[in-house]
Amino acid sequence: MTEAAGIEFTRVRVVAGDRLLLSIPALQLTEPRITVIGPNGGGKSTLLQLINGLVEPTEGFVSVDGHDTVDHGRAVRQSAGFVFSSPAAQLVMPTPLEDVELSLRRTVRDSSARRAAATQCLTELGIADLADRSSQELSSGQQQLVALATVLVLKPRILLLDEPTTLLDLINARRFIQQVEALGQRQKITTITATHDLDLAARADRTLLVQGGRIVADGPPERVIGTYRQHSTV
Amino acid sequence: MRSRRRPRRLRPREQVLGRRAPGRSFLHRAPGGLKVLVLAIVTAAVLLIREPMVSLGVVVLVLVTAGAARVPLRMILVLVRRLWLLLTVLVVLQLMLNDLFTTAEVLSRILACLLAAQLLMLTTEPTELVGVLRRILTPLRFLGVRPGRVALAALITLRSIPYLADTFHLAGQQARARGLERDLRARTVPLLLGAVNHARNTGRALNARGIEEV
Amino acid sequence: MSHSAAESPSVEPPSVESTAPRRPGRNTAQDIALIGVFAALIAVLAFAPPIPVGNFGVPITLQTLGVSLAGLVLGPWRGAAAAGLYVALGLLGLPIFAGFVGGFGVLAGPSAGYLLAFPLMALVTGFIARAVLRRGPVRWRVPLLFLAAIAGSILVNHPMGILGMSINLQVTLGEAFLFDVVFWPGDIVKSLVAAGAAALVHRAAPWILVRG
Repeated sequence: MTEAAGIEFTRVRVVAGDRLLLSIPALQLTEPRITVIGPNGGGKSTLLQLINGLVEPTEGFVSVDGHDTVDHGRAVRQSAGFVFSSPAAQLVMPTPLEDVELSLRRTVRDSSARRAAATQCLTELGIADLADRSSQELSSGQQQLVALATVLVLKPRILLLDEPTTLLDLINARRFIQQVEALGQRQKITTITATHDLDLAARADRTLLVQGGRIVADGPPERVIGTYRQHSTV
Repeated sequence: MRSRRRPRRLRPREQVLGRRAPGRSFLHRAPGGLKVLVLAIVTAAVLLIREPMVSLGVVVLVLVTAGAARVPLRMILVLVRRLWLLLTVLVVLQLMLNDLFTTAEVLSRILACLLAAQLLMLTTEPTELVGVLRRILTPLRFLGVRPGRVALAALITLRSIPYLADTFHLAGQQARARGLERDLRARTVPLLLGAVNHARNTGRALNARGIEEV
Repeated sequence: MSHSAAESPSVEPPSVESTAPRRPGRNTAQDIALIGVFAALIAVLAFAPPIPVGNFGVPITLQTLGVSLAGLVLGPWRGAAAAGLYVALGLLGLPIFAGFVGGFGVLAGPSAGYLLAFPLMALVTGFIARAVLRRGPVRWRVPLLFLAAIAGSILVNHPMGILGMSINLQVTLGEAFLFDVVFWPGDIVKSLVAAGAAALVHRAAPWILVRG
């Protein structure tokens, strides 16, 4: 077993039926802030979901800190949190506090310790005042912050964000990104963000352009975004 | 001035699952399980005894309890207004097919049961009912029933209803914009696809968090 | 979604276990989500006021459309679970039956039989639909799914509905049958729409029926 830190793709192919969704011969991700851009249906989501084992490679291997995502799916998902674009689909419990506690049900047996950890997590994100509100009544920006809390409370080392701000208005999107960036730095969390927002994509150490199931460009954000703009001129 | 149809009223989102009566009376604070149990007993009694006087007694009892808990009568009787057409058809059919006594029995029985249920609904949070469902299922563990999974599915149902109601409303608007308001397919297919999509997103989020029960 | 070392011989497997063949596991969380969301779908369709359909604008209610869809899309067991969850939540007092009614009280009303039949109806429709989707020719999918929907309706929903009306309205089975006939044309329209929509879903989202 390799003890390599970071995320490693080896001869990965994902096939659905007879359609090739994604093919990545070799890829290593070690930078703290990575963004993924590209057209819809190009394979961005598949790439992100491969990393925490929600999608399993048809061929080849994906490993996170040396753990294979198929064999150790549960462990990988513990260390790689995932935030989706739809706030409505991510929360299940009546209140934010209960939802964050639910994340801990498996790992923390003592219910008062669960409550304390959940409260602290909400406080860190600046949404402690929402703890006992009804999740239904929250705005989608607030719901997305709660969804982030349900993931962060597990202290992940990697945070996968799949178009996290697509359904948010400008103010909420900015607030969300600020929180993620601050946390990423403070708690040394690697963030991998798929997005259509090129301003957001530029705030990274490395950017991948995924198109037609392949990584078309890979490197510093300015260059990769420039390539994407050229590809997309009508 | 030309007379026209009354414009459609918009229904606020959070009211999809009905409004609760304001207040913190003894009825609001009573445990959900107890209220469901009492409702079950009252309903069973009315269904089995089938006496108009008993049913009317229950109607009075419901109204008195509501008054004591300061639940506005209007919120209870709105049920009758909503169902008046059905109730009228029912009475006409009964008078045609049965005698006056049977008509009174059927009508009073239905009213008693529905009004009692309405009182429960007005004083109980939906999520509390999920807790009740979970407790009811707990003894069935030995049959392989997993109450935690059922409760999770029920919570997802509660969260999905406002979301899908929005989707359905939007599909109706889109159909109307295209002149397809009488096309059932144009109104329901977007709802179904939206539901499948929503279920997939929810399932993925649960998987990512490793949650299978609550 | 299974992969084994044999498929990529030149790659050193990162751990020993990965040489064992993998099977696509039961995705419990996904099933729970589908059951919960389809129970909500039945509720939302039940809320809808009667919709005028076709050239004559005959109003039909959509109560049973959601139940047919649950069976056609989710298959027998998950379909029945969704319908059962809907009925259970409604009986406990959630206002999710047609006309925003809920609670055990509906057991006294004329629709009691129809409501209690929902889980069984989804089960029957689901069994036929699953067989059609697994073995039936693709060309015949929509008509066969229509038969699945109409079978659940005629074999389960209407008989139990008639029985319920006869008991609760104190009329004979024959009289109850005459009330019931009113719903038949609407049911045919609904079953047609359900079959078409379900076929569309199975084409667009084949992952739903990985297992029935």
